[in-house]
Amino acid sequence: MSFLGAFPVLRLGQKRDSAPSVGFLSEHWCAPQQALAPARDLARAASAVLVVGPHVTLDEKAAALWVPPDCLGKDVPLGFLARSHVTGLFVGNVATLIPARCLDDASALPHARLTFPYRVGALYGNATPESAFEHGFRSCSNTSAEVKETQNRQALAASLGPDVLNGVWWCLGALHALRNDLSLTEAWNRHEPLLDTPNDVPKVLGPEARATRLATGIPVQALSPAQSRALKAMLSPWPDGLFWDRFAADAAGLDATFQGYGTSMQRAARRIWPDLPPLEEDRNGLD
Amino acid sequence: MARRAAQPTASVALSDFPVVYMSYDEPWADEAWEELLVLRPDAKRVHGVKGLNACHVAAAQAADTPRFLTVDADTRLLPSVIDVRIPKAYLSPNFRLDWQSRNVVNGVVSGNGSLKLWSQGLARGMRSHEAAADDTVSLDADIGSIKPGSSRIVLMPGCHSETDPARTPFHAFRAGFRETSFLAWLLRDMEMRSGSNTAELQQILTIWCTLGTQARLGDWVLYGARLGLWAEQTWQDWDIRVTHDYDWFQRFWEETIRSRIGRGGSFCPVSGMDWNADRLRAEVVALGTALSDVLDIPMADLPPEASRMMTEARGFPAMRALENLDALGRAFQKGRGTSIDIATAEQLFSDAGLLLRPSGLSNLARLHQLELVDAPDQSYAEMLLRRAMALGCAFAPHHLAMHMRKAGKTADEEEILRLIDLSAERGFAPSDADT
Repeated sequence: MSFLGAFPVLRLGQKRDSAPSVGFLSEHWCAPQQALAPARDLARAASAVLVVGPHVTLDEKAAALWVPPDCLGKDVPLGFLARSHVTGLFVGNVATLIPARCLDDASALPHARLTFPYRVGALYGNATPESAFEHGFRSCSNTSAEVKETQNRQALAASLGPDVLNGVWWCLGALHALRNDLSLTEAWNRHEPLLDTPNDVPKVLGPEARATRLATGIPVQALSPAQSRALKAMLSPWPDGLFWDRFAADAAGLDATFQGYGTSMQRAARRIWPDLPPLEEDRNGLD
Repeated sequence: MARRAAQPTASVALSDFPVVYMSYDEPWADEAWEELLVLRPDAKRVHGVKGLNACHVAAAQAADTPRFLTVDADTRLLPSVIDVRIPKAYLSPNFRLDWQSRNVVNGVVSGNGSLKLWSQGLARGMRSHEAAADDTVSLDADIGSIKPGSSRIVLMPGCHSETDPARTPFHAFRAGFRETSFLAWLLRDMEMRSGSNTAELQQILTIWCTLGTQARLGDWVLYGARLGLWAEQTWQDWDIRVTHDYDWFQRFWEETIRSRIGRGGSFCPVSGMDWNADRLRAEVVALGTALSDVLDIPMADLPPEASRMMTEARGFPAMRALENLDALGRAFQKGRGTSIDIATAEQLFSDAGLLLRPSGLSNLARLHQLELVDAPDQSYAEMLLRRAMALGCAFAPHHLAMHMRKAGKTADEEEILRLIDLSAERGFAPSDADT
């Protein structure tokens, strides 16, 4: 039986950062730079370990997610998604189930080679203005397809958030990343003086959004808290269709076991995502 | 697992079925009809038939074939419709097959303006809207009651049409008003049934009441949507059935709405109407404020650019897509309204399970327990039941307990009793005779 809860959780970061994980075999903490040895020990004792990134809180239902045993036996690190507390969008690279053998000779924690389109938790990172700015910046500067898929998706990733604590700081960081005009440090240094006049922070959002639109053509918007809250309330509980098709594409690149699983996921995704093209086998049905 | 359900492959093309275009009072109807003829030169048309039930009967008469596809006047087919194929197993005379449509004003993908493949029997047997009994509230095509237990709406994957009701102020307003008053009525009905998940309906209401300012006549849709929700929530002696009374709606529009908004500098070339856009916007905003005081449904006033960003991101899934997946699977499993087709049932339950529907996992397990599939696997069934149980399924613990008893796991009697108790706690406690 391969419920996610059957594995130990290794959480990267400081224990005070987050609520405890419920329903898992055990929970351990360590600094991200020192994670390899404890991950290896935990995985050897339980065949795999779930490594959870900093600022991620696991859902209560995450432990009830099921991992196909024949996928686990292939020694492939398996990733899961989280929902950003700030933007409401789904993000990857937040939790990875790493089989023990993947850690035997590893010099660093391996990245997921296949990410399930299932949510295991929420990503925060907005506890302070600086942290929010940095996370916003990184969320839009990394070239992963989660945010680079379309301009409107990128726009949402840099516009949503002003309804939560330090969300405007997050958006400012994200806008700079989209513009690609300054390094993270330079961008932060430019806005840091606003810490002394917090009421002015929302006022700079409009001009920064306008500058980003002009520089990139990405239709980012400066939203009020109420507007951000309403738009986030519209977001689907399901990860976008692209996550499902990417799962299938990555699975096809592994082996036949994964490929079969990927095709089943693709088919299921078409029940909820109307823009996904029909599968080849459906297009060429027999008369 | 990589255990895939058997694939039902035989299919037919949707383009093999005749198309009937239905229009009533839409000033753009002739233009849209010409456009449809480009894609389907053989299409037929019914026009001006009063009553939503009556016009479908008229469409059935016009088609005069066992099955036909209806297209509403405000719906435009997309070229992808040409490639749509239908598994033959779905072609039951008791099934109406629906392909949802995307609303161009707010991006919602729903049954509003959907393409519908009817059988003659269902179209002629329907008694909804104006044909429903006086003491019933009939706001949608009630296919399920035509042959209870057999007839049903089947939601098909994909979106191959767009619906644009906002081509005159009147039609834009009416579309918004009817949709949200219906959704709000549905929401209240669901809230009265404990255990119903209303999150999706609330989400759709947020969209209808927030997005649209980027669209032509979008403010009229928003005004209708917010007023429809307001009416359903606050108006005394309000009877939602009047929203399907064409005469009532026309009077409501002429006597109440037009005079309230007043004339002004904005002009609709299709209808020839002019109106005061500032007054309209002020009414939209005021209704939003008032609704926020009485409802916990987030909504906001957006500039057109923000509305466009959200609408064009295409982030909305098909509405109520999973609602009837298990029921359809059981129909194929038990031959209700169609032939018994275990492969199709297995496919549907498998899809539901992958989308984390606990009932899908439980139903799939039952196919194996009952040895209905080609290669039944009892250990696989047990695994599925444990997964369903972990996701909160009420039935799975009980089925698992029975499964363990049947397997002779008497040493586990304590766990068996615990599982039966768990099912009971979750609301499923069949009598001994049932089990």
